[in-house]
Amino acid sequence: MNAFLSEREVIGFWLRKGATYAVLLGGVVAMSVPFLWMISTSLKAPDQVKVFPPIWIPEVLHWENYVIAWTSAPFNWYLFNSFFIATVSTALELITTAMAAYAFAKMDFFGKKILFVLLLGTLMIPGEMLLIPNYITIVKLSWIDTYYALIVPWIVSVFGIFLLRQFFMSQPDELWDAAQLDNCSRFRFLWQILIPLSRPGLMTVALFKFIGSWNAFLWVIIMTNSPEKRTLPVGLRNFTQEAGSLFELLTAASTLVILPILILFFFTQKQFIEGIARSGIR
Amino acid sequence: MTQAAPTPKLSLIQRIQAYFASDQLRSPRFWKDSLQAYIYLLPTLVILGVFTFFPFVNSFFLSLHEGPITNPTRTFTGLEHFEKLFQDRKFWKAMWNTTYYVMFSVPTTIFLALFFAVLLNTKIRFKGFFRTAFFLPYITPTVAAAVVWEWIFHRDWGLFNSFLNFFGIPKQDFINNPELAMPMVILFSIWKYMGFNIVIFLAGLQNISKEYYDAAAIDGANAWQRFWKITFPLLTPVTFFVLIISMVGAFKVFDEIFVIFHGSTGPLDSAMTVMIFFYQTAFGRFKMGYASAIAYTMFIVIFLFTLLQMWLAKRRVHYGG
Amino acid sequence: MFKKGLIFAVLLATTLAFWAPAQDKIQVTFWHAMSGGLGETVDTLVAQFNEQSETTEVTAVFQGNYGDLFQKNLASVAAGEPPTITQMFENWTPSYLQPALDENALAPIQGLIDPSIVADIPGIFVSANTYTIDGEATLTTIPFNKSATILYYNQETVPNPPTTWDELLELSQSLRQDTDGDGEDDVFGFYMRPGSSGVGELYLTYLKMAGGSIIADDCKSVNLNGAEAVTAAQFMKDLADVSLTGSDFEDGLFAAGTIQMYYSTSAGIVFATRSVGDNFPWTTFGGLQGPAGTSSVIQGTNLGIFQMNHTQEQVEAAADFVSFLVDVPQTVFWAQETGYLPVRTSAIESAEFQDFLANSDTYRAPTESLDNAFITPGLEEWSDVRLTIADAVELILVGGVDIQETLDQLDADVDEALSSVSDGISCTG
Repeated sequence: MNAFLSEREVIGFWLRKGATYAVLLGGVVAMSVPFLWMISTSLKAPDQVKVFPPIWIPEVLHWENYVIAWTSAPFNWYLFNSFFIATVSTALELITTAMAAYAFAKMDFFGKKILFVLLLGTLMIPGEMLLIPNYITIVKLSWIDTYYALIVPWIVSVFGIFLLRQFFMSQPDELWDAAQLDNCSRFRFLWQILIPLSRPGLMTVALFKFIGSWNAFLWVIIMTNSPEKRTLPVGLRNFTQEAGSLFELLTAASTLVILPILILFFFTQKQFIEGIARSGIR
Repeated sequence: MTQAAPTPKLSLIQRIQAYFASDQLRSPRFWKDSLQAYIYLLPTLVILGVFTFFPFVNSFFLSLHEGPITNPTRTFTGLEHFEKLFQDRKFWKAMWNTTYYVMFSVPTTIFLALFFAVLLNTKIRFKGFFRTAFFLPYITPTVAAAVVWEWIFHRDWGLFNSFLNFFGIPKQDFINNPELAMPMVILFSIWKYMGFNIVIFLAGLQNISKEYYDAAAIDGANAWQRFWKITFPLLTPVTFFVLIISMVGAFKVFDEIFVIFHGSTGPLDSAMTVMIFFYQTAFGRFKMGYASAIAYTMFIVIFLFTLLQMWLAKRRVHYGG
Repeated sequence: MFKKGLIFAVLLATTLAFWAPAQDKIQVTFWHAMSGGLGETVDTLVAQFNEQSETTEVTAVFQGNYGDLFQKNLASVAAGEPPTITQMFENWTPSYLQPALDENALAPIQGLIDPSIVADIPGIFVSANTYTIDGEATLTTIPFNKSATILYYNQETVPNPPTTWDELLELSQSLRQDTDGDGEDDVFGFYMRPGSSGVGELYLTYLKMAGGSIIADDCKSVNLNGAEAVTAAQFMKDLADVSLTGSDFEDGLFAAGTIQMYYSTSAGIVFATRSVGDNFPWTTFGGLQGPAGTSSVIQGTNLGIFQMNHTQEQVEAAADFVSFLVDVPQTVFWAQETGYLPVRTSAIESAEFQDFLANSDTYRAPTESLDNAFITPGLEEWSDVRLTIADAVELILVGGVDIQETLDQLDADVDEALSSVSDGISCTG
């Protein structure tokens, strides 16, 4: 503590600090209670799931639910496919998104405004109405039950373009002027200057893409037929039926589905949230 | 982009004429740049063209027709579906429910997300833990989240009722009371999407240069003043972005309601949003043409609403740099 | 590093993109919505068939829930590449036949399977799977996973099941209790789900018990506002007033002791068994009598064979598989494993199944209620109609509306929806 601060300021500092932690902890509790309940449910016997008063920690922990859930569908395939599809489509999306965002942020071209509004408009189209026509397109492309069907249509994200454009726009135009003096091409400028400067933006786009791809269900089940091409959320559908749900298995499988992303987020969040601070720009 | 002339009242046609008459269009360099820009946009345009624009136009075609579900373009009906839609009590109910959802869920989520993002951006320990906890709901698959949510809001064994009970409020049947079903969905969506907004806000907060805060500290500004004088104005582009994205997403709300209410429209249609109405009409009632008209109308509403927002925000959003 | 990873990923994607097993047998694909244990039973049956068949290889594909499966069927026919066999509800079928399509996408089962099998299928299933093709009544699909609607009851709190509407009402009222003394009842006799789409079918069941009929013989009009319809609606409303209403699945509340009885499909027996465990004895009952007797709505899907995009060879191979599925040993196995009804009269009467019933009391009621059961009309329009009915019933049960007025409106709405039904189709009551 700074020796020149008065006692009052010191108390004020600690009070603020304490209040910050208290509020954050409150938020954390509200956010994670459903999650904790999910884990608790995943360890119960079927007849303990819906009882009153609720059981938070079952007397016997039914770890076998995880094994039963995992083996009740080809989850190993699903896990591999989820990883593979999410990784490839995220990588490809970053490329297309960065290119398009660059054009919108730093270039002048014919029809820019109209095109931008048009692209923005696609965000407002409900995906549910496009599914059947897209199925027909995928059949015509002979892409049914292939990775192409699961990746190619999803490597473009208008949300990502919109977000990255904001990031690119906040980089001063003088950078490009200076780069031009060095005979830097637009392509090199994008990859070697603009993208490194916009890492938090790129990481954010990548994160949301990865999660979106990881949790996609309807598209996957509609466009594939073999378990070897399907992903984790399809496995979750195994535990719900018209007349009831297998709650303890559903929650066990869901916990396993979340885990990889959770770990990924925990270890990488610094990278994209604080990326720019460390690169020391501006 | 062509800079708008200082004379403010030009009609759209005049502006288009002015654009085509401008010197820019006669400069070879502009056309070279345009060509380059379109090369950068090519992958995006091709994929959107095939998988979004094409089916979108296709479904407009559907909205003008009627027929069996497997043969939806059998009879041309023109704009009949749209006329019928505006007299459909269910459609207005769905519109009202959707508006209600958007108006309450979006501002609350953004406000809370901004609040927690600012706190998470201060010098605290266990940042990674806190951020992950706030992000948790966003990565939870909706089907699992909804199962848990049903339990939390259950009349008999719901945790939320125990919580209300603590304050002396009698237990409520959130899922089956037409007045409480939508508020519950709103709470759910705040819980689920706050983490998404927090991440974007955090990235935006990191983008604000420390120099501003250093300068403010020298001037003796307190935390409150720093937020309103520096953080908030410099964050407006991000806030605006989050606002547009959340609004557009909220208008299309479907998944969580579909899962929480087992594919139904909620008690007495109280959770029937436009997209739920669309889905039920298309795949429950087998009326593809009418359903396409619903989706199209929805699209137009969101589009106009977004344009209005952008127009309103034009002068307020502050692009630093 | 990032770039290298990317190149690697793209290469991997290209290599893995195409993968197909070697094929020499006739390939038959079977799309279904049977998840979890049901799916495993389907897989067992398919494996059995594949093992014994020298010419045909069936691939069963789980396509999500019924809604997902419906969208997928629809899209696959629009794209011209449907599966060989799929599950379909009665009201999905006409969409894949003339006049909805220019040519029949489905190959009628009749003529593809042995007539002796058809003769052995309970009449209610045969008529529900019969459609007008080229002006002839033709068995088009074949029953697969059918369930009856029955009363579930807790034998500890309800030693003898109610046999009449009045008894059910009385019992539902007398079992209500306020156990924690907070002034609000927390234990109930009966439970209803007014907001579920199945509430319409339940209403039709009560309508049948009241002696009403659902649809005219020409399928073009209904009588949903007559005296029987009002009686049934009034009864349901009275029952709802003394019961717990909600949207969650019944089994959780039942297991928790919150409710003592509920009316639901026999497909839920599996879930009740899981949820209740050994907490208390319970069973099912199919003999509830209305003013005009008892009734039960049969739900669940049938199997259809697509001829679109398939060779005659494939269609026949598919028919072989379907015949195998409804063969006595298989349909008994299916019923024992899943709780669905056997779809053959001789299977129901077989010693094996009767032995099974002797040991599994809960499965007796569904089978017995088959005698007085009905199936909703197999019209494309019925998809719309059933939701319209469900909406009206919800309004009556919890919306506080006038019953007669609501039913009048319902009758008019349904008649209008049915006005597009083609001529020459017949419906049974």
